[in-house]
Amino acid sequence: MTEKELIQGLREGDELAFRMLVDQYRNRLYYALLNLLQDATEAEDALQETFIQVYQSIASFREESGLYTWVYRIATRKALERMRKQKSMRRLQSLLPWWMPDEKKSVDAVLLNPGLQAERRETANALFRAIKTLPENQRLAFTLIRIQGMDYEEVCKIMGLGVKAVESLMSRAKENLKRKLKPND
Amino acid sequence: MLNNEQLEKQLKVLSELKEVGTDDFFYTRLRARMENESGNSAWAFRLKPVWLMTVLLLMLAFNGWMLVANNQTSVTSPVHDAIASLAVQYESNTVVNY
Repeated sequence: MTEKELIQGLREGDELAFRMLVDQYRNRLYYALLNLLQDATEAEDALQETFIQVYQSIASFREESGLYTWVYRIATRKALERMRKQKSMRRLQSLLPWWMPDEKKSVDAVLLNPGLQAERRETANALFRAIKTLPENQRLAFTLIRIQGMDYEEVCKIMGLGVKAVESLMSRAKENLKRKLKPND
Repeated sequence: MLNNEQLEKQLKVLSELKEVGTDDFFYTRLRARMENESGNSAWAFRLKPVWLMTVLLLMLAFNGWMLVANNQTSVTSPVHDAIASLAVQYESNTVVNY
């Protein structure tokens, strides 16, 4: 099925087309959401919300960008919404620790990753902790480029920014990481 | 503070990460959520806090209005006055002869 046929099928509410879209994109999107949110449960919820929104708003897709970019943009918006929610929950928790229950612990991105050697996990953990403290746009640009391996052009389309703006976000993200990380022995 | 070289050395760990995906039952969970949400959507907006608060405030306002209206009725009701005068008349006209 070509992308045009897939879009047409989605517009007609074809179940098979929707299943194909989910099967085609779910792993790449999940990995991006997991790296952004660093929480397996949150990543799964955001991924479900992404596909639900795709299903509901495919009629408004004007095909100015590719389907993949459009879906990715929805996913990153969902991730940003959740990052903001996490931030306000943390703030509320620090203000009212007796009222707010402890944040639920979920399996994080590093623990889930099978590619890492045990001795490298500590470095990766420290790095992910530092990335989590970056301002949201820097965190988004850094994750998409350095972890997801996307090129600047793709990231510009997803974030709706120009190349200079994304370059500036990347350079500020690196400066912040230099300050936050400790040298390894 | 790290220099560029130290940072790049630490960032190398990112290239060792392998892509992690969802399990095979993701689609089943997604469809279940979609069906659940579409079933609830007609009532979902009525359960939002803003709606619940509005309904609660309206009920309280109605309750308050009813209390005030009841009080006024009990003081100036013509029915009440008629019954009261009847009772006075009845008392005075009642003569019991044994």
